[in-house]
Amino acid sequence: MDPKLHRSDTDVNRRSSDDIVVTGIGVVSAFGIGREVYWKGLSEGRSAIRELELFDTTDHRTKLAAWIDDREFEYPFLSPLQRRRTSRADRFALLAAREAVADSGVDPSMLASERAAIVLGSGASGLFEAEEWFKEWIRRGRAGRPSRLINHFSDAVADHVAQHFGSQGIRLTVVTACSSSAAAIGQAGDLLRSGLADIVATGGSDVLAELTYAGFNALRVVDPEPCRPFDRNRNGLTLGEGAAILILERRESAEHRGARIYCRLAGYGLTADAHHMTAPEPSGRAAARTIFAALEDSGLEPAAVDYVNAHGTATVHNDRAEAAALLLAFGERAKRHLAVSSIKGAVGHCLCSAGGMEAAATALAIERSCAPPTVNYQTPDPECDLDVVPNHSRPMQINVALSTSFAFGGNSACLALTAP
Amino acid sequence: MPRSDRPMMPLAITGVGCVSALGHSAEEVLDALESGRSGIEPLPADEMQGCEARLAARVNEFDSTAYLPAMRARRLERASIFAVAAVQQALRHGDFPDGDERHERLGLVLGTSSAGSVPLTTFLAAAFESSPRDAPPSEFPNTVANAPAGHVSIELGLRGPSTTFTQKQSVVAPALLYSQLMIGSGRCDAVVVGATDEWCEVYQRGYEQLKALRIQNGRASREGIVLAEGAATLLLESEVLIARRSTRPLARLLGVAATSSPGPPHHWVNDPDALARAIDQALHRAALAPADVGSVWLGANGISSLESMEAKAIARIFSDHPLAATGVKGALGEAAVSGAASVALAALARRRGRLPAFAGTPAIEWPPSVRVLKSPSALPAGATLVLTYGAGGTFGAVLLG
Repeated sequence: MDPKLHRSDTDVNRRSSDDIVVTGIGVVSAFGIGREVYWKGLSEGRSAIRELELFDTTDHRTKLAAWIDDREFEYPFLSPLQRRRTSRADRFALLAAREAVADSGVDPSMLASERAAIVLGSGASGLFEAEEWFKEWIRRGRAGRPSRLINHFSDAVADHVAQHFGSQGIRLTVVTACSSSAAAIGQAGDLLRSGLADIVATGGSDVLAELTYAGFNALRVVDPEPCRPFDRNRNGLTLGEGAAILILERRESAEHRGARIYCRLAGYGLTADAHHMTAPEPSGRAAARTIFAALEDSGLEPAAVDYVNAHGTATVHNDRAEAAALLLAFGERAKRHLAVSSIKGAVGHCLCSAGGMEAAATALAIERSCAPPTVNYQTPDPECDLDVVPNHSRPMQINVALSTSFAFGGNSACLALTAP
Repeated sequence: MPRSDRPMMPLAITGVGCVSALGHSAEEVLDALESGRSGIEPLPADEMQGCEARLAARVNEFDSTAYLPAMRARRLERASIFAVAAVQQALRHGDFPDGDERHERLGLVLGTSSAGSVPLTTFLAAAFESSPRDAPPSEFPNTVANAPAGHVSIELGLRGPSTTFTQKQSVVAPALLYSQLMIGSGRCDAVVVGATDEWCEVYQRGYEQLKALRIQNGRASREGIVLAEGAATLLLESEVLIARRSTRPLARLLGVAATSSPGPPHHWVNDPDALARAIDQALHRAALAPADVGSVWLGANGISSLESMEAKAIARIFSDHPLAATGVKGALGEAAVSGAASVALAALARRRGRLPAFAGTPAIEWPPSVRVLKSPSALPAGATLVLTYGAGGTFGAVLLG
């Protein structure tokens, strides 16, 4: 069966004039706080992967992560009580959201409107803190401090961001594992296109927790060394954490304000693999359907795509399946003339915030005419025969870029971003 | 109120599914509600030592083999099993055609407030009791909240757009809103939308510590919610699609709105304006006036301040316009699934032309214009409104016709 998707004749609400644009970007990554720190690290081909100090890693296969050392972070906008009652994931999201709002130039009061939506991808949320409660319960049979529990649910991050800005519009948390924040960005675009919102803060925030670290170790999909996406000797992923928030709005409102436009969210694709909870569909056909869905939604031809910010987790099977998908979608061009990079060698696999981190990197790549590199790429893999951007940035005009995300549960997402 | 959005394209609700403490199909659950039964039961004292809040609405004696082979069911956590069952029920109820092409054009939108909680606590218990090396790898993939959607896709071969949302108890409203956008924009022809939840002992204890749960025993009582589990789903289709196969819908989804009011994640936010805005927006999207609504399924979950808020919001929009009112949470408990069950059962009740009595006892004295049903009643003329609200300050309104 042709993996392409075909839109049906029920396309009644879509308006061709609905252009959704990115006007603000905020990032907290293992490189530190801020969009520019993030881009500098990525574009210089550095890696933020190092020995993890958030919790004990003695019993794990790997000791590494692209983790955020927030011990010196300051949050002057939070009272001491608010600081105690927020999780790391909440605080990173707040830092990123505040940077994104400032970057977009919108009056923060706009975010307090009932026409402002908060649509975030999240997963572990306050689990890192809640694990203290669980430890007390499991090891000592008594309940820990209740304040450790209040942010346990994945939607707490969106609650805190909404509370910070006073938002009264649609609030939504997307939890599709590693595609969460990519899906959130696409869905945020739909809210703007349909007129249900005028501005959306979207993206995601996710942090390391003992559960996720132990889980990926238990599945034996982590590399004891820093991960090497698409490399022949790749041996698994390296976990990361971070937050990336994008401000999306309609072009007319951005232009009316005279805002800088990073790029346009041309469309997105969401599909289900219906294959396996953790393993990718090996032929690449399922992932190719996601890419075709994004292209079709965007009205773009495969030949128009200049750059793909790949999911590229660096597990043997995922990278092979993604390479197969890119070959299905782009043919022989994918081998030599379609720049592909994975930033996971730099900032690790940030799980539910990965799609947002990668969308932010892709938007910056478009704006700065520069494809960030795939760090730690040394040996080409014939089974991933792609035009991988190795270790050093590639200056290039990028008019059309895709950002792919594939997740547990077979929840796949692909964003199509274009030059403004 | 500013409105730059447009009226919604109505969608047909052609099938519903429900697995809950009151029964294992939507028909069973509605029958049980009509007969005044409650699914809320005390938890065994020996299971819950040290926990004063011992009420829950758990699914009992559910036979999953009608929906998936026993070998496969063993690999799934309860929220996924319930979801697989409820999605199949909705598809069968709606007589949705089988086939690969259909399954690529069928979307799946699930909400949850607890999926993954049992595998998560099982995995952590093993890791913290001894060593992470002893944590069972097979539990880990099911700790993600989208595990139910993943398992549904795998078991039923659904390959269309799939997503999972959380926003606590009111998540069904944005889930329906997004489903409408997916069909309206042509991403898919039909969507199975709903929610699924599983009861988890550790979460019961956590909620208890946050003083969020109802206590009702000989020595003490406290207002609060009762945790629910189960799954509830609706099959939404475009009118174009059902016209091709002469299907008669149970009801139509006329309008949906989701609003919010700032608040910390663990607090119920008492904001009648935010709920009134949701009702107003849903009416606008349905192109209806308040006088066009005849009945309401309340979000009432046993907390009197929230019920007062709901009464104020209704009064603000409907003034003295009479409404027949019912509600399910006094029998089904509270979770994301309860909001989805309210919508699914409201659709089925429209087909039956009857409303069940309000489950349990209202926590406030309602004004005379809101006739809280003490026994099953004929469905009044007009559209049906379903209300939801969630901790952290999210609100939803759904209009069915």
